[in-house]
Amino acid sequence: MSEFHVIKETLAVTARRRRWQRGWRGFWKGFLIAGGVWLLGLILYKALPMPEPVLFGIFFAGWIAPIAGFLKEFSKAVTLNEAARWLDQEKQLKERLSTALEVADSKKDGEWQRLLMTDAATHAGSLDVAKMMPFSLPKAAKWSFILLVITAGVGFVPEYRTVEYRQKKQNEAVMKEVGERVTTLTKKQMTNRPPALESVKKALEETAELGQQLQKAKLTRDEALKNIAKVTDKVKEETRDLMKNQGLQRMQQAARTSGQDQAATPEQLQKQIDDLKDKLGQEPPSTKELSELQAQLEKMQAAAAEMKNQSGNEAEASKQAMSQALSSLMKQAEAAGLDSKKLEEAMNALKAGKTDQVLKELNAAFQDMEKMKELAKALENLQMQKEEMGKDLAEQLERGQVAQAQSSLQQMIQKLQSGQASAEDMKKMLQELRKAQEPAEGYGKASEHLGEAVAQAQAGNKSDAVKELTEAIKELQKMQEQMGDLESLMAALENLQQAQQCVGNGKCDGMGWGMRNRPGFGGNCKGNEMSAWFYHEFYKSGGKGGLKAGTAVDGTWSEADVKEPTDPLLTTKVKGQITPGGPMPSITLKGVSIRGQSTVAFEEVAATAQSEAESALAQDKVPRAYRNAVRDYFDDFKKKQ
Amino acid sequence: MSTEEQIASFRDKFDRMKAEIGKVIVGHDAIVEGTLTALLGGGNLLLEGVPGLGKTLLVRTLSEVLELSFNRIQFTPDLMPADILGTNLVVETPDGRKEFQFQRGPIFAHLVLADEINRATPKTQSALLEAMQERQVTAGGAVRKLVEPFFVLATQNPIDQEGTYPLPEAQLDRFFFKLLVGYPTAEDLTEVLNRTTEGYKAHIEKVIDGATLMEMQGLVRQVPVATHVKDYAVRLILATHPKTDTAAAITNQYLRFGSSPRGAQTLLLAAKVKALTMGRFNVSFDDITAVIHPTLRHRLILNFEAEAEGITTDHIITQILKEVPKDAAVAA
Repeated sequence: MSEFHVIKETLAVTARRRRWQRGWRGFWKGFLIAGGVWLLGLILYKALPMPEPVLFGIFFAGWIAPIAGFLKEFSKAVTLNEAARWLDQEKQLKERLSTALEVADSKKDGEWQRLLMTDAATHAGSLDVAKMMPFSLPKAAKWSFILLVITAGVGFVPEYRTVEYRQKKQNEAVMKEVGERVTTLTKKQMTNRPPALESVKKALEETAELGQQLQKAKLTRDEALKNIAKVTDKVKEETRDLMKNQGLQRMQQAARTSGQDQAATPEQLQKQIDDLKDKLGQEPPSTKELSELQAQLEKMQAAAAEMKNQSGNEAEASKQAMSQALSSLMKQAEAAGLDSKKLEEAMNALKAGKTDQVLKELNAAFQDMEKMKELAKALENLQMQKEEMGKDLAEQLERGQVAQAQSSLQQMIQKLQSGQASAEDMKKMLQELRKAQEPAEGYGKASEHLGEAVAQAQAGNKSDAVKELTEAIKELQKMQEQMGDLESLMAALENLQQAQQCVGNGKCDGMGWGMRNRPGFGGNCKGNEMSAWFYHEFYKSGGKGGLKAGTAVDGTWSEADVKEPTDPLLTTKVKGQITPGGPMPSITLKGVSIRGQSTVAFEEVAATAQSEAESALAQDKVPRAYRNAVRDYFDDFKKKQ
Repeated sequence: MSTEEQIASFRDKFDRMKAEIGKVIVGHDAIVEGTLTALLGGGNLLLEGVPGLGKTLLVRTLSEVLELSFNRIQFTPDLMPADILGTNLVVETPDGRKEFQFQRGPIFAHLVLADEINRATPKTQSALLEAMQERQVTAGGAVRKLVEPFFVLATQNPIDQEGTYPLPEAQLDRFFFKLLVGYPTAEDLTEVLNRTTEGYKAHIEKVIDGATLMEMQGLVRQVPVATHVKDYAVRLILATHPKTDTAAAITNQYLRFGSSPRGAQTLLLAAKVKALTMGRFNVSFDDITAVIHPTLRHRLILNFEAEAEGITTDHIITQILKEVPKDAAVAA
């Protein structure tokens, strides 16, 4: 190997190794920068309200630095000359290698060249480049680790966020949630029951759009409240327009007062009643009787549980007492028509002294009674509903029982078509139709069709009468569809109300959301304020729905309603907690600070106050007697605005 | 003789000259080395030091080591240029005619000792300028070449001594090296006393003649210098130029004038001599830094601020060495 080759080989190895070393160092320098960026980013995140995606962005962007550092340094090719100069400096070779390399390429005197080469090759040959240039962690690596440790430490430091910021974020989250719910529920409502009227469709679409707008969480709280109020007003307006229809008022009232399926015909109801009677017996026990029996059973269960801890005479006395009570209960159950098999087994176990078995049988008996009670309750409801059903077409229309009215009309058509109707039947039918003409006036052109049907029937044109009755059915069908629209609007109003409360209060805890799938159901809303609003509005608009001024209607099914059904049309006096003439307590509104000279916009205060008031109304915090006054107060505000 | 042999011979002669001078001059190794470096670099030498430190003795001993003609000029305030260069005298020819004949001055020798050069007026000092740079003199309307090799070895007392004149910048620049002769150490002084007070008689042998010296000078110029080493020399020189982009911070603060290109030439030549004396075949960065002080110390002109603060050119050169990286590429 020539001397020059030795030099070149050494320099080539050095150059390669140096390049990798540079890349290695570049990587760690980049990593150090990344560490610094991460630390700074984290500190900024902890100190300032920076969005989390930005933090993640910084984290991922930080990784660019080490890679870029490596590439930047590695991309610089190390020439032999650079390697020679570096080696000269590193190993104190007095520029032998670099000079030899340079002289080798020049046309220097051959003798000098030879001397230089020999000298340089001697020195180059003695070098162990790999040993001389180990791949160790540079200083930057050490500092990087220190920075990472500090960063990890900073990670445990809680973020500093101002109250305003936290409130803003909470509002955004609430808006997002509210928007999502409003959109989803409204769209579902529209899918399940497509609106019949174009104006209703538009109103619901606007509601869904508002939901989407809220979902984006780009609005301020005040803007959101204003938009909600705007859409709410539109939906209310639409509802008012619909509610001007007398037929719809009746249908709505019917839907609200019975909580059952309005679409069921009398025959269907009877079938359901018969089915239940098959299960319960022809003379089924009342829920009251069953509740009393359950109360006795519960006492026995407690006594049986206590018996386990008793012994001797005391246990014997308890056993005697329970035996008597059990036989008495068995008699009562038999009298009520209940199966007392489980009670008999309990008696046998008691005689055998098996206390655990007694308790087990009593529990089983209790469960059986619970099932019986549910069936009995359902039966009572069906019977009540049947009783509320109109006996003829006029009564059905009067009470808003459209499905039943349609069924009645269908029966008339069948009679007419069968041709088996006697003169007496025809007379009755015509009488029923005439009687129904007046209550049918609220149901579109149904009244006209009924009148025409009477005329045609009297003229002996049965087929035309059938046609007219069919048209009347169609009119009623349209009314049902409009009723569906009204229900959709009511559901939208409830959702908007919830949205207003959520956005206004800045939280959605305990708020109920839902859909109206059936008339009369308030969609899991607490206090069903919308129903109350609806009747209040209706009353104010001068409608005649058989309601009295100041009536608040609670449309939810609570336990109290089940146990003690009250007439919702009766005014309920509730003892108020505000002393008349007493000082008005100051009100602090959430998110609005009023101190001294207020700088808060009137609209903001009004919107916030209204939202809180509506929330209070929804949660039954306002006595019934004062509810209308509260609503009137805020309605006056709107007029002034 | 091959180049390798020439280099070996060079080192040998250099060491012998040092040894011969060492018989007379005690200590001052750096001064002796510097003197020989200047001689081999083909330049003039300025020795500065307070009286009695052996400056003149050093030059006289050198003249004995070299087989060259030697003249000494004692510079005094009344010395005239003609006293150095020579003058035209009216002489009678054998045929009875009178004509001007040039009488050569002491400048016409291989080795000229300008003793206490700063005691003469600047006008007289200027008489040396042409001789020092161009190896010729112009007198009586004629240009006369000086003998080769030609050296001016000047001694001077520090400038602030009484009865001295500062050397003109143009003349200072013509000196290859300026060496500062310091006080001897205790050991050296003891040795001086031993030699000078006990009848010691040194026998100096001639080591080289003029032709050999010129060969050696030629060899020096053949020493290869890598581009980046030259670049270092250039950057060092440029760093001494005040009010330029390349100036070092201290240069702008304390210097009125920096080094001339002659300074750069000298720096490289001196470094080559250094490399050869070290037994190397190339010039290194360290060779440059080793000779930079004697090369530049008389070429940098201090400003008033530096004078007032007592800053020396040596201090500035040291600072420049710190500021200018040896190998810019490696440093980067």
